[in-house]
Amino acid sequence: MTFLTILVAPNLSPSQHRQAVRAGPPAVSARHDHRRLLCAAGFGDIEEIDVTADYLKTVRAWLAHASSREGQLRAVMGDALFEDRQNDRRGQASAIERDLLRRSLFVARVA
Amino acid sequence: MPTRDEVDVIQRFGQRYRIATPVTAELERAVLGTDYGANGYAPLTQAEMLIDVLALRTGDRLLDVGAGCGWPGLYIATRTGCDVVVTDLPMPGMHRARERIHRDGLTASSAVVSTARHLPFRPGSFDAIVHTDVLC
Repeated sequence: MTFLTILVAPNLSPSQHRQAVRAGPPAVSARHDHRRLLCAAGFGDIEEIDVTADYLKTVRAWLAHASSREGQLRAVMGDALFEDRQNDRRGQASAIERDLLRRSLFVARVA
Repeated sequence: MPTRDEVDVIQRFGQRYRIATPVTAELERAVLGTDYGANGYAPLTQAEMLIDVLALRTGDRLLDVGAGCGWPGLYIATRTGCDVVVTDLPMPGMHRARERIHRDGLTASSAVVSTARHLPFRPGSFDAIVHTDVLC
């Protein structure tokens, strides 16, 4: 199995952890780390590849390109959805820049 | 019976997947380098990483859980020759995935509306599983 996911950075203070959870996608606040979850599900030989730099580049690209087409996007998405999405992206970009959020590629095999 | 989180996913993402316009397609191409109706954070470069890691061959069976409109599972099938089943909850996304399967001639691939909690497949049905931004 292989998957890409966004996760809260390790070793954060409680305040930083709350900020990361607020800025990240809805289910970013996993109770256990992904390695532990994979092991519990019977997977082993787990490899994690950090792709956070690419994640920041993608979030910034969404922000910039969506801003440059703001009028057209508001017309097709509606104001509320457009603003929600842009606010999400701003929050994520800020959290990545402050090392609160990361993105990883996990690879695991059935143990 | 869907959970509250699943109902939220169906409503939130269903609304997004219904929007298929020239401007959203242009944005997707510019940001992700794709044309599958994707609107997340997995660009083409990361789909290529998945292909490298999975090392699938013609005839292998891949399951893509939470695939939205079929990205990246359908792309992986096109690139590697594997057969893929893409699954997700919002019907509009799976409808677009079925159109793409037909358009790309992926005759051994399919799109299934299903929750990841209770996938309707027998154990051992797949050689590999992939998912992008499902656990976050």
